[in-house]
Amino acid sequence: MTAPAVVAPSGTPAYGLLYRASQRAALFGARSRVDALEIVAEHFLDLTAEQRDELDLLRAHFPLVIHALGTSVGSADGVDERYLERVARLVAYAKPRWWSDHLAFTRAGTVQLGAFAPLPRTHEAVEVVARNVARVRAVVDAPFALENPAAPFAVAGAQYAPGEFLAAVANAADCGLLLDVENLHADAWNVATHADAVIAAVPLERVFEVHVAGGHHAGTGYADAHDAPVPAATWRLYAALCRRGAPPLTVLERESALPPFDALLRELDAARALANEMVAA
Amino acid sequence: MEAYLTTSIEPIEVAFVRAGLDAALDVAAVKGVERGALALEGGGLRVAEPARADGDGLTAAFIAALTATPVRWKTARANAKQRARAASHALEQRLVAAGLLHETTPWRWVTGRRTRRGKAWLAAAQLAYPAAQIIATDPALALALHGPRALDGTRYHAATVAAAATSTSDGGGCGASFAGDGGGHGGHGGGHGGHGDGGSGGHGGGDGGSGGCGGGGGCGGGS
Repeated sequence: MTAPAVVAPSGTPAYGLLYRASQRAALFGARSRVDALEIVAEHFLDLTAEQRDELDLLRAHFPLVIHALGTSVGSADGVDERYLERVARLVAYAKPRWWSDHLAFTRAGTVQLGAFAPLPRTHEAVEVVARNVARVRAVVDAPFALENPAAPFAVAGAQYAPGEFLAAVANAADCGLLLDVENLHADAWNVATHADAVIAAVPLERVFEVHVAGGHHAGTGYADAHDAPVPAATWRLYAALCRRGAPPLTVLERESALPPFDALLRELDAARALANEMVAA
Repeated sequence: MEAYLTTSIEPIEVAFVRAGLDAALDVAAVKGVERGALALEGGGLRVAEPARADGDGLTAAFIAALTATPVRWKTARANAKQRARAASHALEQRLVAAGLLHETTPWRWVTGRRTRRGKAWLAAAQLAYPAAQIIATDPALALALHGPRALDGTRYHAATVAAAATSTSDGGGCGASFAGDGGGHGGHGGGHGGHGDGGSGGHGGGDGGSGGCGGGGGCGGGS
């Protein structure tokens, strides 16, 4: 599965932002500098009339992708059918280029964990995810991509290296990947992941989207809080990926401590410039 | 929804489509103040530095109508209106050509002439630019899109409250003086006697200021 074009049929790389309603006016005032928007599914799952109007406005003026939080593709007992149906209704309405969720589990039985719990990198996990993604694709009518979440701890018994695990899952599930290079940066710090090896191992044709973001150091660890400018280490990883080829869509994922909108635009421009430079090199 | 916001949003045009000439003049006044061409002083308007005006016809009408001595907002607007006929006509023709308004119908309030495209364009712009997000940086656009209540809490609020206090309006707040215009225009459409800035205008203000949205009410009546 290769990534659908975000903006142009030619597959010209696009650079977008995570949508925040609180910055809507600034976003529309700078529309020419933002190619696409990523919206969080959970903000629109039960469409009120106001949310429908908001979504109508957004989809009329920007290509959209949807990012979900609760699919829990790693749950061994399958995906939540009611959740999937809600996502399916949203996708049918919003008509995103694709939608994504995290390669993790957020639910165990009936218990909601409230966090992305890392999967063991095992053959069994690959099979579980592939089975769940098959169900996802049967219910939700849009291409699907899986994001590498940041791992707060390493799970013992790995049968794959991190990059090989991403590739194995994407191949087995025949889905796309959303590579969050800031999460790779966090993993490098917290669980000693060899981030460059991950970037070298991912099947580029399956990378629909990349997230760039910034976090902060907390104690001896690094929090992938997406609350700060993109750090140099993450830009370096992004550049390494772009050397292999610019991804179809790069999204600056700033979730909290929002700076003035101009600052986000400057970071987006930096991503665009860096990708162009790496591709040209 | 069609991608209506493909070009920049010009506040005076928005105001004209939303609520007609008086609303567009109010926006021109705010734009003039923001740029320093006009000054807001003691609850009234006066000429400040005309060279700083951005050249639109309605602001030029204000500059021609005002002196260095402040006059009440409503009076300033009424005087400017007398000098704005050509600019208003040109503006209207532009909006008709853009498909946002129907051709003029005599004595019919302008917002009753919004086309389907004009309504959708306005709705998209109002949603894209929430008042709370633009009031600090672009009060003229906030007024144009959302009506006078968007100016509550700004420096324009005091001027309009003062205007309301000396009017026959029983309304309060910033909305009152502006909403009067909406009421007056609504009068045109609804056949209530066609008051402009006068008594029925004050009545519109009493609505509170649904303010500029008093203008919206007028629109319904006029359609």
